[in-house]
Amino acid sequence: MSDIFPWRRQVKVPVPTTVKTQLIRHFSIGLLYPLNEEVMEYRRRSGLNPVPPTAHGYPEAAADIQTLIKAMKVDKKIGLDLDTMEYQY
Amino acid sequence: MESVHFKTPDLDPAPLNTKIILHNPDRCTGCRQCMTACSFKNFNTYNYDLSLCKVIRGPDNEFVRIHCHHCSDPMCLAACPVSAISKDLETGIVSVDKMRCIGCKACTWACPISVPQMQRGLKAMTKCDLCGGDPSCIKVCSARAIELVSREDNR
Amino acid sequence: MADQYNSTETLTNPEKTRYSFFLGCVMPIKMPWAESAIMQTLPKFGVDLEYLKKATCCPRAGVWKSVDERVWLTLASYNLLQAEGDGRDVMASCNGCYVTLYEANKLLRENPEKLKEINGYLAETHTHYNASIRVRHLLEVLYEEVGVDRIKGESRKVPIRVALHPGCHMRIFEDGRLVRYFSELTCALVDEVVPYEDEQMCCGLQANLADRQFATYERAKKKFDALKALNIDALVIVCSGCYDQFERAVQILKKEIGYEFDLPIIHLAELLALSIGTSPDEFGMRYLRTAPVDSIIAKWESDRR
Repeated sequence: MSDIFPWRRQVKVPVPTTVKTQLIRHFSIGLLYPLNEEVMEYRRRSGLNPVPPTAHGYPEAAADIQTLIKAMKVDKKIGLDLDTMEYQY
Repeated sequence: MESVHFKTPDLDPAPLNTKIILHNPDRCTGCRQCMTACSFKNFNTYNYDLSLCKVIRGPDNEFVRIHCHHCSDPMCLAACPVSAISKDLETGIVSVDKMRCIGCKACTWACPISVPQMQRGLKAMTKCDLCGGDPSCIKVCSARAIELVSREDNR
Repeated sequence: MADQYNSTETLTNPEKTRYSFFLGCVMPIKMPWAESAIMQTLPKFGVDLEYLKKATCCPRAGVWKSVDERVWLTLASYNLLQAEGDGRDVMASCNGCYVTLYEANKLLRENPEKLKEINGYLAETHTHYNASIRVRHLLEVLYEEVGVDRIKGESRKVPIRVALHPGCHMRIFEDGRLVRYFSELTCALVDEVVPYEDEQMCCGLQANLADRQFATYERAKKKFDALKALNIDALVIVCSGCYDQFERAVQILKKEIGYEFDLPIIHLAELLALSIGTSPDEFGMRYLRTAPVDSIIAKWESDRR
């Protein structure tokens, strides 16, 4: 295509708006819902550890997710800057 | 001026091993995941209006799926005044050549279930092309309500 | 086709029935009562259960399959390898997480080339997945390993009438066994399970991606309307994804049109805990509910007195 239309640039299609914030949360904390003081209190009352043994309690898991996303170059594909957590388009 | 006659190509009967999508209302939960997958595959967005298949409520409150059946003798193909619609006899897929289409909607009126729809912005018709033989909708259907089957198996 | 999704695979280690419990995104934040009930109750039935540590989002296969399949397989493997390292199989309660992990695991076991590719990415985090474990649903563990007879023998029915919401992903097996397990297990734990017309209908979670109005009013609200007409005590679920959608829909409907859905939505594990005599306060049954569960607790208490 670039031979016929040398001036034409490939259109960058943004990811659907409904998943944009979900993806930021997924890549920054490893899960879709953040933990807060209120939830920690209810977890304590339910006989559980206030911090669940998920990525909430292991921040290195979220760092690993970012490493994997970068390794697959998916951040470039969806136009998300993982350092600033902002979409480029 | 010499008149131009467009006529449908002489079709052999569609090969029985060609694939079609079969929907089973008994298994369908109406989650519309097939519709989101379809609109994402074709238009990179999640939009029910753009999806090339539709899941709606039928007369008995069951879920009905409207999708292209890639007919053996397609009415849309017969109705097209500019021969923009063609049927691949190898794969059985009926597709629209958007460079030829003039957007007259004759195919929509001719289709018994009005499958072809106007593509926004392009002013040309668009319809299901089975994603080239590997439909996205089937990959995401957890309830296994849609499957790709051959005509032969389902006569 | 039925064999394609057969989960009763041969065990790599026959005496092994040790599980890592995959929590997912929703359960630890919105359903601590369910998490606590599962962790307290299953060991009492002889299930060796531990948390799957460092769990991240499963991720959502419905989204990633169409965007980039590698992400689905790699991030699912990242979760699975945490259990594999402990020599345990994975157990999930959320239908969505189960399908994502089960299908990724199945694909990687059958396709060594794909597994090699995924391990290439995982090497960046100094981890490796061998695809040597199984992924099982809470219902499979309860029905196939504990058994309905044992549950019936060791529990006393909770005197309530309930309706079920199985959810779409529970139907992945052609023979519909997960739905059957859900129904039989619930029947063993309560007085009556009431069928209703829209039982099969989706909760609407997936529709949120495209149209929140449709998801709330055409799916969740339709379901709520049907349930309210049944005169039952609770709606029983096992899927955290469905609970997430119902909880959101209850809030939206209350805010937008003043619609009250006062029927408690409870997890199967809570019924199991109550039926073996666990006090509701031991697993935090009263907190973080969409509707008060006091009527269920009152009936349970009067029965136990």
